[in-house]
Amino acid sequence: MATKSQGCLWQMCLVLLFSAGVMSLDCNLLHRQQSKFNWYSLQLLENMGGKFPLECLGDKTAFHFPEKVLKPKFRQHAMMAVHEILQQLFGIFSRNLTQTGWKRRNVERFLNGLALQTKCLETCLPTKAGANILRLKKYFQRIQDFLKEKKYSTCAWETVRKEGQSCFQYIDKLTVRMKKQATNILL
Amino acid sequence: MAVLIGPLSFCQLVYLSILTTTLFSLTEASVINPPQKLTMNSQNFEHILSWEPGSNTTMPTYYDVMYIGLSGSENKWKIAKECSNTARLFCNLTKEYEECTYTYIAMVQSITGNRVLNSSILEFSPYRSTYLGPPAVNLTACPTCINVTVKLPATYLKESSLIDIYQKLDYTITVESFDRKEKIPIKNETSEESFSYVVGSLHSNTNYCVSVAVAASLNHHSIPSALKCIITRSNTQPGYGIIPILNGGLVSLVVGIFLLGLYKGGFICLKSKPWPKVLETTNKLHCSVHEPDPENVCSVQIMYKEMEKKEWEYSYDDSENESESENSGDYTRRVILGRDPSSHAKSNTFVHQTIDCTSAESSSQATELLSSDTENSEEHQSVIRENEGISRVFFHPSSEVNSSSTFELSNSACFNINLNTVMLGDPDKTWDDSATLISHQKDAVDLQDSSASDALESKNFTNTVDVKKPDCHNISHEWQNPSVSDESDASDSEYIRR
Repeated sequence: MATKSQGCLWQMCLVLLFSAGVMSLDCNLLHRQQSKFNWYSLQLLENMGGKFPLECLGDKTAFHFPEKVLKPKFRQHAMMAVHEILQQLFGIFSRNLTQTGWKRRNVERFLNGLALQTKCLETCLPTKAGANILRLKKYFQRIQDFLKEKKYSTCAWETVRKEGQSCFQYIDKLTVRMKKQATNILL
Repeated sequence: MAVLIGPLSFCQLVYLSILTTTLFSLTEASVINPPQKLTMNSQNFEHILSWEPGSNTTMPTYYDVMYIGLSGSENKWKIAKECSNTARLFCNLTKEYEECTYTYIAMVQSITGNRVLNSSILEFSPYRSTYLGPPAVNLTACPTCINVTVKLPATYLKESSLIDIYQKLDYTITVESFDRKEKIPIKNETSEESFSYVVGSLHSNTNYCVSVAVAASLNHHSIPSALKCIITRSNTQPGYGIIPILNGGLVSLVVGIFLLGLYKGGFICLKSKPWPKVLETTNKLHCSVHEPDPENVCSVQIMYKEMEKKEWEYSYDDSENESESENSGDYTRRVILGRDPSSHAKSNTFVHQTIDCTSAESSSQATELLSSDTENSEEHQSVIRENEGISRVFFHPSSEVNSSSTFELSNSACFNINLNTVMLGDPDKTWDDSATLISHQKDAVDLQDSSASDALESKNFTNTVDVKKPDCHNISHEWQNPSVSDESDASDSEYIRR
C-alpha cells in the first residue's frame, strides 16, 4: 500500500488529468477521453478501500449486470449506457459512507472524477433515451436495495465497491463501442 | 530436615522438566505459520499462483489452493482441482479463473499434520491485472522507413483472443537508433490480431532497433517484445536486383544487333578482301617502274649533221680502232648506241654527243663514243627516246676511252633499234624524206640484240629484221663500210644505201 503522501499525490494527479481531459471536447475523440477517465475512476475507486474482508464473503450477492447492454447496435446507445452507469454510481457513492471506514478524501476524489466524466459525456450525448437504459436502471436499483437490506454495513459497501469496479470494466467495453465507425452497425 | 529438602528438590526437578518439555512442544506447534507471500504471475490469462511455506518444519506440509469469484453468486470456497493436497509451492489457476471480468480471491491452506492454516488472501482481476504480451514482431526495411508487422500473442482462455476480450488494444512502438541516441515512441490502437505500421522519416543506412508493447485501456500491464534491429536501406528483394541486370542485357543486345547490321551492310570489314587481279598487276607495274628494266628498248634518232665531207673510216676491229679514229672525219657519227646493259640503271643520261670529224681529237672523241668503257667513271648512255618514230641520238665523249674497245660494241654497248623509229636523212630536210629512206633501209639494217634480254627486243622488231645474237662486230661491220661517194647531200643517202 502506498503511503498517505503518495496516495494524495497520486489522486491529485488523477484530478489534474481529469481537468486536462476536459479541454478536448471533440465528440469524435470521445471514446479516447472516456477510456482515460475510466482508468482514473477505477484507480480512485480501488484506492477508496483496502482488501476485501473475508468476513464479508457471506454477504456477497450477485447483481447480474445486463449483458445485452454490452452489445449496443449504435454508438449513441453505448454512450447513453455509459452515461447511465456513471450517473447511478455517482448516486450510490454519494451517500453517507462513514460506516465503511473509507477515507472521505478518497471518496470525494472519486466522486469528483465521476462528475467530470459524466459532464464530458453529456456534451456529446443525444437527447433521446435508449431502450437499454431501463435495464441499467433496474440493475442499479438492485444495488440500492442490497445496501438498504444490509443496512449499509461495511461488508455491503465493500461488496458494492467491488461491483463498481466491475461496472467500470463494463463501461470500458461500452467505451470501445463509442468509437465512430464507418458504419453504425456494431458487432 | 535435610531429608525433606532433598526429596522436595527432586520433585521440583521432575516437575520442571515436564513443564519445559510441554512448553517446547507448544512452541514448536506455534511456530508453524501459514503460507506466506502469495504471488500471482499472470501472462496472457495464464495464472500461476506461488507462495512460500510458513515455516521450516521437518513435518511434511500439504497445501490446498482455494479461490472464490467476488462477482459471482457463490459464497463458498472452491478448491483448485490440480492443486489439491499438493506439496508444490505453486498452482496453475488458468482453468479456475474462467471469467476474465471477475475479481477472484485466492487463498492457500497448509496442512501440517493436524494443523490447518490459511494464508492471507490474494485478490486478482485477470481483466485488469494479467500481463499482455510480448507480441511477435517482424521488420522490413525500406530506404527511409521500417515496416513493423505485429502479431498479438494467443491467450490461454478457451476460444478467446485478446481482441475478443478487449475489442481494442493500444500498442506502443519504440524505435531507437543503434547507439540509443534517438528514441521514437509511436502510440496507436488496433482491433486486429495481426497488424502493421510503417515508421517513416528515418535516416537511410542507419541501424534501428524496434520494440512493441501491447496494453488495454483498463489493463496497463504489458510485456514489451525483445529489441529487433534492422538497417534502413534499399529493398533487397530479388526483383529489384534483376531489373538492372535485365537492363544491361537489353542494352548489350541492342548494341550487338546494331553492330551486326553495320557488318551486314558492309560498313564494318572484318576480313581484308583480296585485291582484284587487275589491281594486282597495277601493283606490280608500280613496282616495276622503279626497278631497273633490264630490257632496254631504245629508240634511236639519227641525225645527220654535215660538217665536212670527209671520208672516214672506221673499223670495229680492236686493233684498228685507234687508227681509224684518227682518220675519222667530221661526220657526225651516226652511230646507234644502245643502252649499255651492264651499266647501272640509275642514270638514264641523255648523251648528247657531237662528233667533230675534223680533228683527230674529235675522232678520238668519236672513238670514245663507241667504246664501252667499263673504266669510265661515268656512264655514257644514250637515252634513246622514242619520239613519234623519230629517234635521235646525241652523244658526247664523256671520258677517256679505252682505245681497245673504241668501236667495239660489247654487250654493254649493244643496243636495240626500233626500225619503225629509225629515220635517216638530212637534218635540214624534213624528216619525212628520211622516213622513207628508213623504210627502205629496213632490210639492210641489221640490228643486234642486246645480250641482256632477248624477249623484249623480239617484240619490237616488227619488220623482217634478223635478230642476231650480239655480234657487235657484225653490226659495226655493216657500218663499217660507209659508202662515200659524193660530197653532196645525196652522198648520204648513198651512204646509207648498201
